[in-house]
Amino acid sequence: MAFKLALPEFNLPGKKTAGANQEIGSAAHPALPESGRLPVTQKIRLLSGSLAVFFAIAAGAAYTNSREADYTARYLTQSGKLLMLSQRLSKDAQLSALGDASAFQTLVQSKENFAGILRLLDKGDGSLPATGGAAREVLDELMVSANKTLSDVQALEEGSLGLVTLATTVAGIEATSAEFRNLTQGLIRSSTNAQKEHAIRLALSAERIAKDTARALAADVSLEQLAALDIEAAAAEESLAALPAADPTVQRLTALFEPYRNNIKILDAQAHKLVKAKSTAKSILGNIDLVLAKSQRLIDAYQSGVVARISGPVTILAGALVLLQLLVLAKVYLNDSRQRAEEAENSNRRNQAAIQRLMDELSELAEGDLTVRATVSEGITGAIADAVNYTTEELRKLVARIMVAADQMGHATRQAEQISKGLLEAAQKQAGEIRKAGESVQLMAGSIREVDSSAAKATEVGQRTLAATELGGRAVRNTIAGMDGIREQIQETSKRIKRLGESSQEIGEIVDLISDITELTNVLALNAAIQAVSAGEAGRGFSVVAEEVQRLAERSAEATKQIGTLVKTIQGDTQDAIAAMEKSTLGVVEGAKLSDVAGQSLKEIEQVSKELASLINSISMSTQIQTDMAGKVAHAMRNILQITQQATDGTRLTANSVAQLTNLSADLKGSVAGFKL
Amino acid sequence: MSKRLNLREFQQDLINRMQAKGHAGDQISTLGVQIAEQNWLVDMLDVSGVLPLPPLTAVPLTKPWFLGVVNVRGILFGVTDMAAYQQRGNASGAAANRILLVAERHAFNTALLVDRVLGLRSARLWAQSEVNGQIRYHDEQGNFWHKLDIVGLLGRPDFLQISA
Repeated sequence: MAFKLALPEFNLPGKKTAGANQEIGSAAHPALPESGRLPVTQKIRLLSGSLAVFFAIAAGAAYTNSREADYTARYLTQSGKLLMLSQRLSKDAQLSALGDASAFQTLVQSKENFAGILRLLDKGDGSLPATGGAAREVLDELMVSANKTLSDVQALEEGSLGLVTLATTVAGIEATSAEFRNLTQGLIRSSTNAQKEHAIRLALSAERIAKDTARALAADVSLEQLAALDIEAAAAEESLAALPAADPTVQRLTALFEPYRNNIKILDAQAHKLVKAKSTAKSILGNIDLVLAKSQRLIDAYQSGVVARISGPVTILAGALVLLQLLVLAKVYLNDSRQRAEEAENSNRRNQAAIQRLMDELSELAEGDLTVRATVSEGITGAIADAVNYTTEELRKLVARIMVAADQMGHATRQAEQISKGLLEAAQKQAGEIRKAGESVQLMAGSIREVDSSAAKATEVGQRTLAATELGGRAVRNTIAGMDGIREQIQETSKRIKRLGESSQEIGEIVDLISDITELTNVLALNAAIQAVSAGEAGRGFSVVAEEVQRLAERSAEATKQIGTLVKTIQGDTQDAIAAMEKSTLGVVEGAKLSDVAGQSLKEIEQVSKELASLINSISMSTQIQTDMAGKVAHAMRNILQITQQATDGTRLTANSVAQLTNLSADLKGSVAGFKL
Repeated sequence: MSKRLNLREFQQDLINRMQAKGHAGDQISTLGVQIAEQNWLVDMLDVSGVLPLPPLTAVPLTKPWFLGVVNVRGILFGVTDMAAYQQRGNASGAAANRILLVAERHAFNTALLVDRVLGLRSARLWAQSEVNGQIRYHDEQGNFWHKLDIVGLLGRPDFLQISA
């Protein structure tokens, strides 16, 4: 900050000196135009202008010249091709008239090339302009003739089929005529009168057909000739029909005659075109000489065009003028520079003397004595000396201020050093604390994970509890069902025991009856015994029986008494059993109630375990979220640690910078101390 | 089931005994009865029959031990309560009470009411002792028995005097 504040103060005097220099410079400049060089610059400017104009003219002329020469060369080439093509056209037309198929192809090609070159010369294309000037008239004349020839060639092309057929017919007839003749002569020799006449007629017709076709191909052809050929063919066919068909010679003749007839038929169909083609071929031959002559004239016209051009001499003239201008310009420039050098030398010598004196005066200033003042004189150095004095004064003030500032800065930097040291320690401590906090967070995350796993285990346990509770509930329900069964069985048993009691009652009654009967039996036995005793000797045996009966009756009575006792006991026991049964039933009902309560409790347990499971689940989720959060916190801690380390590094750098600053301020002070104020 | 009787053995034993009676004179001729908790032996020759107590017809102005008269097969008998007669309370009145008809040969239409008839008893093998001029028997179970002298009883004037 101290620097920034000081800088504008430092700059201000500098600007002032720069302004002073400018004033001096602007004072010196107006002297330059007095040396009288103004006409020279004007001259150079004029000469340069005219030089540019002449150079442009020369360049334009040269360009035009070269382009036209190029065009002419191309025109000549194309017209030369025209000449060559017209000769080829005439040759191909002659060959075509004789029915040469390959000549037709070259004819068509030549025609197209010819038409293309004519179009190019007439209209031009992207790179070549249309023909103009003297050659134009010649070209127009040529085009009249050439177009006629081209239309003729077109007509000849249309008749090409007829001509080719004619040529093949002639060739076929020539090939077979020798065999045909031999066959017919053999036939004439071997035949009888009527047949001989037919054979002779056939031979004559064949000969005539051969002759006529050959003539039609070689020379002119007319419709009459073709008609005659038709008639001959009909006659020959008639003669052939009159001959015996079974004869092998005649069969061979028929086979040989077949192509004759077919070709003659085609010729008949093409008759008009054939005749026209023959005539056009003749007309082409007549016309082609004219075309040739005109093409030659066109070439001559193009060649004469080269001589008539004016751009050549213009180019040469303009070039010469350019050279002349250059020479004059060089001379003017050399004169001017020589004069200027002399003036500069005088001025330099004066200035050097003044500057030497000023430098002598300022040599002490250079050694750091700011109290030195330069002499202000009239010459070029006077203003400089004044400015230097002003500068020195300002510099002295500046140095004094710098010394004060350096002192202040040294003080400030020492303070800053202490502060930055304190900062560094604090930052390191902070980093340590943050690292510990990060470790704590890691530990916390670990424990949260443990809680999470415990919660998962608890969930499992809760599930098991739930399953166990369900099993318990089922068991309780089974128990209740079992108790119901027991109650029913007890009730059933109780009924049976009651029935038993009733039965024993009946038994008791029966026993009573038996007892009565026994008593009576006893009484009867006693009476019997008494009667037996009273009967004396006679009743002895009976008395034994009576005695036995009486004894049995007694035993029966005893047994009956025992039975009665037993029945009584049974009845008492039955009553006890019924009472016990009722008690059991009550107990079972109570047990069922208790089981119901247990089932209810189990259901509540189930509910509670479910709630517990959901609670544990929510705990698990919460711990998951906590784990995430802890992770984030740990990440944030790491970031903070990094930032803190950066801050520590920054503080360290700052401390270093401050130390450097202290050194720099010491250096500054040392360097400023050399000045004498 | 040892109490069960073997019919064959029983029959055999009976026949044997009947044949044995033919030769020896070991016939049981006394009847055991109970009067007021005391066991008495009665000679069967003095008795013509034993009956459960039939409906009584009380006779007024008689001794308390003379209970009344009963009709047995068209013959009237005077009934004496032996317990009351011996001045040891009254007959129990239970279903086991019996009346002993005195034999016809004594020509005395009287019946003795006892608490119960115990059955035929023979004092022949029992030990006997004399207490206060009266013969007393001890049976195998250690019970004491007295001999009821019906002939003597019939000859006693206080027995014969029933009117009060």
